[in-house]
Amino acid sequence: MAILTAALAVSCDMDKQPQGTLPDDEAILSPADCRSYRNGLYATMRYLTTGPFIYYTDLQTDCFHAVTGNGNPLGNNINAGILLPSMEEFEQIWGTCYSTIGSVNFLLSKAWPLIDSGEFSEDENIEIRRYIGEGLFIRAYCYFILAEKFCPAYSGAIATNADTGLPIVTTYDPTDDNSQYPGRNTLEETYAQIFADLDEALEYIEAFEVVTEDAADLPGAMAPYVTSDVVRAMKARTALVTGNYQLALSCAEEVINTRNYSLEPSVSLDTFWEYDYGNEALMLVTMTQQYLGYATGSYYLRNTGNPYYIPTQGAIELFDRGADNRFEVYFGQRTITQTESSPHLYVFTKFPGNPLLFTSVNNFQNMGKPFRISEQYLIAAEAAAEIGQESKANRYLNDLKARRMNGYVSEQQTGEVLINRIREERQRELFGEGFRFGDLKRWGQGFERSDGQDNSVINTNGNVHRVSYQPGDYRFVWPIPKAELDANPQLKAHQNPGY
Amino acid sequence: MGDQVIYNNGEGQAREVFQRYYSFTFTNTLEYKLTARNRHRATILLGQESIITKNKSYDVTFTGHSDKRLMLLSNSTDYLVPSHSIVDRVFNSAFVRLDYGFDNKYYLDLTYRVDGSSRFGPNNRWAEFYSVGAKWDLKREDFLSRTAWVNDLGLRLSYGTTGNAGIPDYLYFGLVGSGNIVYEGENGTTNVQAGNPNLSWKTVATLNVGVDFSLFDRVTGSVEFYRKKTSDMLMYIPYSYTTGYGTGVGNIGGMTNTGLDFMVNVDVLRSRDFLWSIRANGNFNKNKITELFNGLDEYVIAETGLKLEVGKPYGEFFIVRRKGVDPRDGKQIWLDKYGNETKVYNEEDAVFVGKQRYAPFSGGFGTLLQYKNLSLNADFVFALGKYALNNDMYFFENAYDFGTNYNQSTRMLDMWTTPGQRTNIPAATEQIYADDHLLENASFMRLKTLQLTYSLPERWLKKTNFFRRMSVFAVGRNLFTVTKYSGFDPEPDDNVIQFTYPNTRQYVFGLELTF
Repeated sequence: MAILTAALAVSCDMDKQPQGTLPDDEAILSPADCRSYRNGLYATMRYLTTGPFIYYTDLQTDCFHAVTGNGNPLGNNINAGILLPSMEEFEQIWGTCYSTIGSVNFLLSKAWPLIDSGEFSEDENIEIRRYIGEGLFIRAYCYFILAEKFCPAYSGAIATNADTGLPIVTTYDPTDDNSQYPGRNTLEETYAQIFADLDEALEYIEAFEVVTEDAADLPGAMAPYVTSDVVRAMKARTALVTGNYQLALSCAEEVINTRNYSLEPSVSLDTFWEYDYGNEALMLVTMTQQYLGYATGSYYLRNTGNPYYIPTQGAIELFDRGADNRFEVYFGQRTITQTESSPHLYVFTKFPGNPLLFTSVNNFQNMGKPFRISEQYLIAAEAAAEIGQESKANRYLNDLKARRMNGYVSEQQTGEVLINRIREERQRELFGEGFRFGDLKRWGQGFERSDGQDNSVINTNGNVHRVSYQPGDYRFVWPIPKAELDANPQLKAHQNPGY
Repeated sequence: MGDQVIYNNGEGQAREVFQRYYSFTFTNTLEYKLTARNRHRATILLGQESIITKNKSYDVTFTGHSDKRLMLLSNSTDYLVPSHSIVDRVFNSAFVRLDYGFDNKYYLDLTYRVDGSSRFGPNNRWAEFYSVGAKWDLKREDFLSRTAWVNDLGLRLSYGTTGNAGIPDYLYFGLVGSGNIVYEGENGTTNVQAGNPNLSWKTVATLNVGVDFSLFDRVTGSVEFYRKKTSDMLMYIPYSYTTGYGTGVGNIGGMTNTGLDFMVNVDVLRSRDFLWSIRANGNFNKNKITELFNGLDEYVIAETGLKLEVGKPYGEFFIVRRKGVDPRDGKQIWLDKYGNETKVYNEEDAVFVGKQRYAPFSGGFGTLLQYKNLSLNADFVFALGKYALNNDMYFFENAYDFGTNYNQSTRMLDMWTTPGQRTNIPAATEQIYADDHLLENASFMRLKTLQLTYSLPERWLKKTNFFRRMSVFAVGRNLFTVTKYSGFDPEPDDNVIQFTYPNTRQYVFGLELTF
């Protein structure tokens, strides 16, 4: 043995460190490291605010029809009303959100010790806390996406029931030990987590905004980073979903009253959507030709061949074509070519592809605009109406419609009519931005997809073009992906009902 | 190292690829031999070995060259994100070996070694392995030494463990990387690997019992029984997404392989000018999964038709059974997991169908005919009990998805069209699934090579004072195959055979000169 030990003494050093990547316990040692890491989180935000994160739920509801021969892209089964736990779509959304949550948890696990170490100045600590705040916001954003899709509509009656919420993870500890994997929390706990993250994020980001000298870090239209306005807008959105209308109204009003943002006049509305440039966006998740996200528009427009999906007749009829200046921006006419007929129909052009991002041809990339001021108007209006502040509700609705409709004359509505007007306006204004599914769910409404603009060019096999959901249809809650159930014994027996 | 220039009508690109790979092996051994009374012979060997490997590479492509006379990297207008990697790896071992032989009849050897690898974390880097082997040369025993028909007979027995570190480098680290992550013009970082500090060596413990023989001056061969127990396999396993990762690597699971290898060569006829020999080899193997990760008893590998289950062999197909096509309406009839007929396809109805991806019996045989300078050699290979999912068929016999756009197999002429028609091809309106109608017996026997050679007599060549050997030959490869498999080639070792380029039939004529 002694000789063997001697032999080992002459052996070579095996502590080989990788090059070009950092061991995770050495990756975040300074405010600059925190900054780099949160840049990575923003790069992920490009995906969380585009493509499947926007269109899967819109394909599911009453917005779009599948064009015949569309090649069965992801989302097609959802569009046909088929939702199975094994479908890739669900794993994609679930996996991306939890991967991002894991990244945020990693950042928090490395950034807090930097502050606790006392090695950095107070200014540096404020900066680190800002990155923590951005991370917390992104975590809340992910949990919101997940809760909207994989959990039932929030109501006080069920919020504390078992199996209503998400598995909540707030620490970073990847392991192959499946007994450590989390089970489901309640819906109450899920939204409490989202609010807690948002409140904490707001505190750190506001503190940073007081001291920063860089205008790009401050709240304002098209801010590339999460600002205090963005956090408030997210709080307003979450409060609306949980029926906390007082909070929704106050947060939305706070954002509106900053006057940092304005509804685009009709002349620049198309520029806003095409060039991703305008004062409606609280935040613009920026892209460049090299660094893109998902191509949201690629499902609705193609360089050659038919689009995969076209708006339903019902969607077209939502708009007053003559007066509504959104119509020409959201919809354009194209020839849909099929063997039997080639009609000229409306296609969805809200995400036409930003020419500044083209890589030789249109790649249908538009930057993520996750928070628009018009949504805050609609939140304020709806929340105010729900708590009986009807004059305020009418005001916000009229402000929005006056911008959107030529020759609009203000109206004063009350009661159910007012609520319905607000809901209809929400459907119009946010059409194709991924809101419809969550809205129907929280309103407790079902839907029936209308006939096509021309049934001869859309998939009508088995009448899928007329898919209808009763209020509370089980498919308003997506199945937890099979891969997750297989890997996580704590979730195995806790699939959502109906699957 | 290399470079590549493509002009491409004004959209040119220039590329430089560089790789430098070193691998140094340092071995130091100390050996001591001793002999006592001419009957005891022993050797003791102490050794140390280090293998140091360094691999450096990069690959850069610059684009936008518009003048074919100006094609250096620097003549470009743009570039693609380069790749660049530097990898270091070290393996260290120390070993001791003791050989002992008595009377040239009985042999014993013992080894003990410790192996370390930079691929594992500091706490799990080293592992110990050992082996014990014994050999008995029976021919040297008095009772056999004068038996003329036994030329040689030996028995051997060994048991030992070996380690395997067959994973990528640095896998135990949780890693944060940058590169191609940019936001607002600033570099970004992100986690690129979960890491597992507990990773360690995969071990295989093998028991071998073997006989080597040579009989009648004509028959040589060996038979060996083995039992291999693999544990702590290094595999990617699914993680709960809530960890932030979909998969990670771990030391998980175990399996056993039990089997028999044999090899025999018989010189059937042998004279001064003529030789005819036949030979055969084969392997029987039985595989069994003994343990999976996380205490699981079963795990389905998505979309491969494979499922791992403790007690079952690795590679038994797990798939939905299709019973046939209903003559009344042309719809497919499947069996659910309980064996009841259903017309609804559901992945959940997959069951083990008792068919193996890996052939439990495989091998080869061949013959050599030689007359003076002319020889004919034939080699056959075979695999029995092997099944494969003929994924190509999914495309060729699928009216629903491909029938209107792509060519289909002639079997589609039997497609169900009228009520009452009995056929295996469902109606054109029916969606085709990767159920067991694609699963085919891929057992085969194939004439792998047939070679005819004529060597010129050496005495002729001697006169040239230059050539030492000259032969002309003709080789045919994959000349014929016996199989029931309907796809292109049953041989690929793959559970899902899709668009695999088949083994081609080849004819080679050649002249071989040695000088």
